[in-house]
This record gives sequence, structure tokens and C-alpha cells, in this order.
Amino acid sequence: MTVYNPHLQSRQELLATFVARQPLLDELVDDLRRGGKQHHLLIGDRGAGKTTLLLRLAAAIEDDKKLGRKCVALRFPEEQYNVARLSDFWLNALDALIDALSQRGERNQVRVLEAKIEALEAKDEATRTEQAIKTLQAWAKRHKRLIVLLVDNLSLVLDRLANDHWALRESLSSDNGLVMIGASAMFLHEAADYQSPFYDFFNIHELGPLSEVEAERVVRSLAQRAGTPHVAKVLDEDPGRFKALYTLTGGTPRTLALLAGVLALDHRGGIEGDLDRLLDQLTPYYKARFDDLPAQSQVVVNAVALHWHPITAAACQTATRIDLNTVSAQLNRLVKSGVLAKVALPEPSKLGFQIRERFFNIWYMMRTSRRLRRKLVWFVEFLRIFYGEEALRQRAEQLIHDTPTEKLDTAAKFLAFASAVTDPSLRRQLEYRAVEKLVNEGLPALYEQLDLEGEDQHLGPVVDRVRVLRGIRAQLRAARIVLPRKYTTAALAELIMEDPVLPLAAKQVLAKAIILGRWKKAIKLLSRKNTIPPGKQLLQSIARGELPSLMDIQTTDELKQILAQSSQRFRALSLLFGINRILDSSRILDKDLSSIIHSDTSLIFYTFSILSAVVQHGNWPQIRPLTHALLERLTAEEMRPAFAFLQTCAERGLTTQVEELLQQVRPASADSSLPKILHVAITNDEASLDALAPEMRALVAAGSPRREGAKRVTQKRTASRPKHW
Amino acid sequence: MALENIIGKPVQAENFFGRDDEVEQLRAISEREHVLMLAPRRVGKTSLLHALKRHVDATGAAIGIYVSVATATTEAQFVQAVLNAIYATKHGRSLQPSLLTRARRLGRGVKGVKGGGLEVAFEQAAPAWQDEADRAFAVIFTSDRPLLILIDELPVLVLAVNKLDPTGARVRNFLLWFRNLRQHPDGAGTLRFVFAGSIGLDNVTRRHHLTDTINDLRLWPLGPFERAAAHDFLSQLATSYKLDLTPSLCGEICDAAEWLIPFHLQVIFGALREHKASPSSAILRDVLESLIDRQPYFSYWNERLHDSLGAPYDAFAHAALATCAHGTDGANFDKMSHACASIATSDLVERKATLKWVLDVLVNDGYLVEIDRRWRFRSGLLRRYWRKHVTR
Repeated sequence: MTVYNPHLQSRQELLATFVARQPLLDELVDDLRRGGKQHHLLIGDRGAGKTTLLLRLAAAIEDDKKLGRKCVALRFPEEQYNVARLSDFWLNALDALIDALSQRGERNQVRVLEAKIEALEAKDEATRTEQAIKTLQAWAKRHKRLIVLLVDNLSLVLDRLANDHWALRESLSSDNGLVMIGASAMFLHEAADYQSPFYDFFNIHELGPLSEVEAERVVRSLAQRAGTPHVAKVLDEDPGRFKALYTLTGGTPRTLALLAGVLALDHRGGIEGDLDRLLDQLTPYYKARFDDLPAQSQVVVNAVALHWHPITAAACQTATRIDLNTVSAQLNRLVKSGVLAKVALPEPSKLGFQIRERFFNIWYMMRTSRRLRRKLVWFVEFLRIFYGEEALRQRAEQLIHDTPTEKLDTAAKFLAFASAVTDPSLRRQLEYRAVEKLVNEGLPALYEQLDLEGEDQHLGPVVDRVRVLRGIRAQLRAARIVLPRKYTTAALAELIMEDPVLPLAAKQVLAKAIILGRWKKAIKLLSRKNTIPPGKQLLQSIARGELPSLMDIQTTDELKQILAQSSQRFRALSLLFGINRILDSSRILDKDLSSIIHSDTSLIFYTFSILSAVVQHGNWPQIRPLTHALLERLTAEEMRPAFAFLQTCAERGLTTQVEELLQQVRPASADSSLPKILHVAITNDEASLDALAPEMRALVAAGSPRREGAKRVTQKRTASRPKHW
Repeated sequence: MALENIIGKPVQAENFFGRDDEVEQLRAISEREHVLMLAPRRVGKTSLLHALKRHVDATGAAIGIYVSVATATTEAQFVQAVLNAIYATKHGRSLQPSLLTRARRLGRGVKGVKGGGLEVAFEQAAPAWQDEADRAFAVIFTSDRPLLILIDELPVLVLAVNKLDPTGARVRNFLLWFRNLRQHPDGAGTLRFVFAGSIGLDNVTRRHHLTDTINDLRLWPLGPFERAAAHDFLSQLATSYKLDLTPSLCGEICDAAEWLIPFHLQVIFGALREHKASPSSAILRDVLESLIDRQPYFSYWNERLHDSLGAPYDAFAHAALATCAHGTDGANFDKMSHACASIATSDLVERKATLKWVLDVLVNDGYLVEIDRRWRFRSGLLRRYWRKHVTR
């Protein structure tokens, strides 16, 4: 079956496959039966079925004996490039009439008309036009038949007859046996322009996208015609697959015809595989359309297509670096030729331009965009529509664990899923997979396909880590050095890579030291006691470069990802590193802080250190409730870190706030003197200590700044982590 | 004969509906005066001209001659079109000069026109067409029966001639000649003209400072249907298409159309007819929604503001239209001026002057109509579109 050239279809094929626009056909036929006093205009994007509908209408007239006696359908070439003057159009109509009569074997009439056309050859333009119209009208009158002018691409005809619109309208304004049923891929501004001769002249029918039900009926019908029962099976058993493709292709009959073919093929590749094949099938057609554009138009179309969303003329000018007037002229020309569509943007008096046929835009992005995110912006939308949030998450998880095989897998697919999912952890894993694949493909591919200075900027550190860690592993494995028996270079490489604290630069230095033979210190450092184990999953993530080590934390997002994978105890350490590296502590969630408090009392040093760090960043309100909770359950053994923390608060000018808090603290322990003791931390009021028991006084004195100096308190704050983690 | 659902094309004979009073009124006025019919597009001016012709022919009040001069681009072509229309009638044939005379004059005229092209040789050619026309009309003045010449689309010719000579001298010369012809004492009892056109002749002459050339014409406005006539119109259409349209539904269609011109009623009826379900209030609502969702058609009205007016005038237009879109009865000037305050607050006089100019453009371009110092959307559908998609 021909998809792009409906006029090449056989009559049987046309009748058998015409499903989509039947109600409109019925209406047009009904109108002709009533005398055909109404001119019609069919508006629809390329592939919407305009040409097929005109052909089907001609067949309907010819096949209906009664209607055939009342009307004669004149079929014109799809594009009437020979029309330069009004007389050309009417002479084409006479030629079409001759063709129609020839098909009916009415030779006498043909001979008469041919003679009349020949006689017109030598006449001037005005006479030729007048005589051609008169000949048509006279024929219609004599034979009592309505001449139905089926004019495809009416916009092209009107463009070429720009000075003759009034004359053309004049010929169509009276009941003279002529009725026009025109079609156009773009909206005819003449039909809505109040000053135009053709303003509100036609009954306009928009051939919009088919509804899902109509589309399914079309696909079933085409499949039945093509003898591919497998398609019906797909539609019955996997309706979601059809629904997704329908949504993406926009429900135009032409793409549905291709879709029917695609669904008939093997579908083991899943929905993404269907898309691959559909794009493959459309390539010759779209490529030809793009190649036909003049060079400057191609530049403009490129900018509009890669923008995907409607683009303003100014933005297009920036993207193309062509001057604004030329860009505007090009945009308007492309709108006129149906390649682009103009859309009103939400801001009043702003206009945007977008590729009219969305699937063409998709094809173009897939084919030409170097940047993967840009290339797949449509695919992201598709994934959201197709899967829905929960199914999308499941599919993404499956993808992380599977080894896909279609063209759309690779880095591009991971990035598309990453853009579509809402779970940050899942997104990071998918992005890491994409980076990993691109690194495997080599650096040129990576730098070409990721926009590391733009929308992929956040992946820069991931790329660096993956590259550096892989380098460490490769270098150490290749190094020929003698090590103690219990160590191998491969094992050392893994130890370096998975170290959760050391920064990447330090890991490089360590690896280099080992390669240069200075492995003793390195091994000592790497073998230090792990008092707070991070958890296996986090170690693996750090070793792969998926996550940074604690000293490389740059962003809240990274910290959160680490917290999500940390063992419960390691979370405190991570938070402490994180807060000290991320200046804006308010971006640390309360739940992360409170989870530390309630998790493990042995982490009290870390907890107060974290609170100190937050106070250092000036965010007392955030930690006040937590501090309150902590102080109420404080034991005498935990007094020292609390004391240091409160002194930090005092140094930050929070004396009043802390005093007010201490008045509200109701200690859970039996010792109600704790608040008094803590009060000393902020007031330095020694006299108040006299009321305490001697052992309590000793405890406070041990942490008192008066004895050890204020400096010590600050040092304690930063050095409050144990020597071993 | 059944009434047909015809959208856009002028209607003839049996499809002409509900304007009998207007036809009679126009006939009576045109017995005494030359008339310029005024109405926005799609109100039915051309259809009314055809009906008037049929009416005077039938009653014998005059010989009706309809001529559209949309295709004429020069004065000579205009004269030729009018004369041809007169001579095409049975009575007009007797007013035609003899074949020999015509051949001699035609030969002279053609020579004058073809010598160097019409545009270039106009100074030489102009007297030729005027001379020819004067002679022809001198014979026509002798008609023993009055001729009512119904001229459609004269402004198209005026604009075309003005294009040929942008100084305006040529078109002024033509219009003055034509005015003199209408004022000629010999034609007082025999020749009457009624003018109509897609583009308003009053607007065109005002824009080109030619108002004095048509100040002899009696201005005659053609309005919408009365509500009762609109009901009847819809009922007859429904009968014709075997559609069950209750009186209350007819009322709802009239409410939706807002301005009850046949075109608006036909459009809504057409859409209702296309809907396969039996008409009801719910179906009508669906139909109206689908009509205003015809994005390319209506969005063009929105886009055009930006293209044709440019900043800041498009902002004035948007503010004015948004104000008018609130209700079916539109808005008064002060309300729109207030809405424009955020665009230009500094100078009230200038703001009002700008708004006035913008409103003229909006009326001229078919967005609004002005009735009793209130501006309202010409089309109820466009107003609904504006509310739904533009001012949302």
C-alpha cells in the first residue's frame, strides 16, 4: 500500500482502506446531492487524509449513478505548478473535465471541448480566462451537471494567483454550476482575513487527528487488508502499546498506516523498538522533505526543531545568528509552506513557531541533535505518558538491571528515563549508567553527546570520578611492584576506590605513591580502623564513581544520595561532612537530623558537632526543636559535647535564645541540675556552680572554657570526630 | 423549495430569507436617492442586492441590473462592466450604440489603451474612457424605464486604481466623474445606483480623503435579523434538513450567535447538522465548543493583531478586546480606556486617542461592531474563543 502517494492507490485499494474520514465524506456527498451550493475547504496537516478524501469523493460521485448524473468530479494534480495566471487554473479545469469525460467515453463532448481549448491558445489573458470560465459554465448548464472542482493544495493555487483572488471569488460566487472543494495543508489566512475576498467564504472542515477509537479502527482495517492478523492480536492483548504510539504519532492517518506496518513486525524490542522502526520507515520521506528546503530555511528549521517547544523569532535569531528581519521572513515563509506552525504564547502579543508535524520534529531531533537530552526530549514525554509514574519507576529499575538491545537503549535511553522519573535516587543511578556507557564509548562520544556546560553540567563530577577511578584501577593493575603477600595491586586499587572519606585527588596521589613504590604509608592509611562502617551499597557506589566520597561532597543532592545509601550509623558522619561542605545548612532536611538523634546514642559527639555546624551557618531555628529534644534526654556522660555546643551557640550571639530554651528543658533523667550546669556554658557564672555536687563541678570544669580557653571549644567542635571513623 | 445551509456564498432566490421589509425599504429609498448600503462582512449585502433586483424586476418598478466590479482594475474596465450589464438586459439592448459606432469607438479606445500600456499612457487614455462612458450614458439617460443599477464591490476597484496612482489624483478623478454621472440632471428620472461591497466604501474613501466624492449617497445600514426572524430562519433550516429543533433550542442558538446575522446562524446550524446526534442543549454546547476550538481559524485573529498592529497598539487591542469579551453586550469606551491604563498611564489624552484609533481598526478588521457607543464582538463565537483561549 502506498502511504505517501494516495493518488497511486488502485480504486479497490482506495475504497477498501478508506475508513478514517467517512462521516465527512458522507456530509460532502449529501451536500452535493442537495445541489452543491456550498464551497468547502479541508484543512489538515500533511498525512491527515485530505488527498485521499478528495479522491474518495471523486470515486463516490462516479460510483453513485444518481449523483454521477448530477455532478462531475474534476481531479487536479496534487500540486498545480503550471498555474501562473488565472486562465491557467480554468484551463486546467477544462483539461480535468476532458479527462473525466474521456473516462466515461464521451468522445464527442471531449472533441468539442478540445477544440474550444485550442481556440483559446492565441487569445490574450483576459479573454482566455473569461472564455474558459464561460465554457465550463456553459457545459454545466447544457448538461445540467454540477462541476465539482476538487483542488488539492488550494493554498498553492491562491499563492500563485495572488492578484486574482477577487476574480476567482467572483466566478465562485454565483450559482453557475461550479462548486469548489479545496484542501490545504495549512490554514488559509485568506479564509479568516476580514479584508480578503475569501473571508468566511468556505465551509471549513479541519481534518484533525483521529480519536483513539477511530485510529484503532483504521489500524485494524489496514491490518486486515494487509493480511496481518498479528496486529489485531497486539491491539487486543497490549492496548497500552498502541495507545502510546497513537499519542506520539498524533493520530494522523498517514503515520497510523505506518504504525499498522510496524505493529505487524516482531515486537520483542518493546515499545522503544516500535519507535525505532517507525522512525526508520519515515526517514526517506522526511529526509526528502528537509533536503528540498533552501539552505537558509534548513538553518531556521534546524533551530526550531532542536528547540522542540515553540520558539520566538528573537530566540530563533539568537540560535541561528541570522539577522532578525531575515529570520522573521524565513519563519513566515516556512509557516506559509506548512513546515512550521505559528502559535500564540501565553504572554499576550508574543508568537512562537514550532514544527507543524510533531513526528517530523522527533525524527529530526533523533537524527541531528548531538546532545542526547535534546535528542530525547520527546521520548521523555512519551515515557511519562506511556508508563505513568509507578510503572515508569519499575521500568527504570528493570532497565538498570537489564542489558537492553535496541537502538534506543544505550546512554540515550538511560538519560531519557532519568529525565522522566521523579525519584532522585533512581534518576542518579540512571544518569550514572548513561555516563558509564558513554565513558565506555570513549571521550569524544562523551563530550559530544553530553552538554557538560549546559543542561548536563551536574554530571561533570560523575564523569570525572568515573574516569579517574577507572584510571586508578587500570594503572595499579598494570603496575609491576612488589607488595607484601597479603596485598595485590588489584586489591589496593579497590581499597582506594571505595574509600568513603578521601577525596578523589587524594586517591590519585595514593595510587601514584603505590605505583612509585611508596606503598607502606598508603597501605597504613587505607587499612585504618573502620569504626563506623558505611554499608556495602555505599562503598560500591563510591568505588564506581556513582557517588562522591565524603570529602568531595559538593551539593545537597549528593549528600542526600549518600545519606540514602549509608548505614544508619554512617549517616551521622556523612551529615557532618556534608554540612561542613555545604554552606546552606537549611537545605538539610529536618528528618535527616532527627533520624540521627534517635538512631544511636553512641553518636552523640557527631550529633552535637552537626548541630554546631548548623549553628555556624546561622540556622538556629532549624535545630532548636532537635536541641530541645536532645537536652531533655541528656545524661551526665553526654555533658561535654553538649557543653561545647552551647558555647558555640553563645559565640554566635544566641545566648538569649539558649537561656530561653534551657528554661523550658525538662530533663528526663533524675538529675534536674543539668540545665543549671549547661547554663554555665553560656553565662560563665561560676557562682552558680557552687550549688552543685563536687563531681558535677569537676565535670563541668573539664569542659569549661575558663580553664582550657575559648579556643579549645572551637577546636573541639571541629575535631570532635574520632580519629578513626 | 427548501432552505439550504449555505455558509459564505451569497444566496439567491429561494434561499434568501427574512429581509422583505429591508428590500421594500431599499426599493423605496432608491426611487429617490442613490444608496450606499453599510454593513460589516457576511451580513448579507450581496444577497440583498440580488433580492432587490428580483423585486424591482417582478414589480416592474425598475429594471434591476446587478453588476459586481470586483474584477475590474481600471476605470475603463469598470465602465465596460457596468455597460455590459446594462446591455445584457432585454431593455438595455435598445440603449446600446449601433455595432458600427461601437466598432469605431472600440478601435479608437483600444488604440489609446494599448499604446504604451494603460498605466503609462493613462493621461492620454483617461479622456478616452470618460468620453466613451459619457456618450454611452447619454443614451442610457434616454431610457423610458428607470434603471436600478446595483453595484457590488466598488471599493475593490477604488483600491486598485489608487494603487496605479498612489498620489490619489487618478482615483479622485474617477470618483468625481462618477459622482457627476449620478448627479447628471438627464439621469434624474432614469438612473439610480445602489452600492455595496465587502470592504466599506465609506471606510475606503475616508482613509483616502475622498469622502466628498460620495457625499451624494444616502447611507443605509443593514443590520442583523430580528430575533423572531432568526427563529423562523432556523426553524425553516431545520425543516429543510429534517432536524428536530425546538423553539427553546432555536433561542439557545440565537443566544450563542449573539449577533443574529444569517452567516452566524448558518455556521452554528451547519455544525449542529454535522453532529450526528439529535439536537439538544448539551449537543449545542458540544458543537459550540468544537467550533471555538477551531484553532487555526480563530488563532489567526489573535496572531493578526500582533502582525498588523505591532507594539504598543496590539496591547491596546488586546486590552480592549479582553474587556469587550466579558459580556455579549461588549463595553463602552471608558471601560476600555480604563483597561488600557496599565499600558499607557502617562497621558490620558494620548491614551484615548490611541484607543480610538485602535477601535477603528478593530471595527474595520471585523473584530468588533459599534452599536450605540458600545463596542461588542461581531461574532459570538470569536468572543467565546477570546474568553477561552486568549484572555483566560
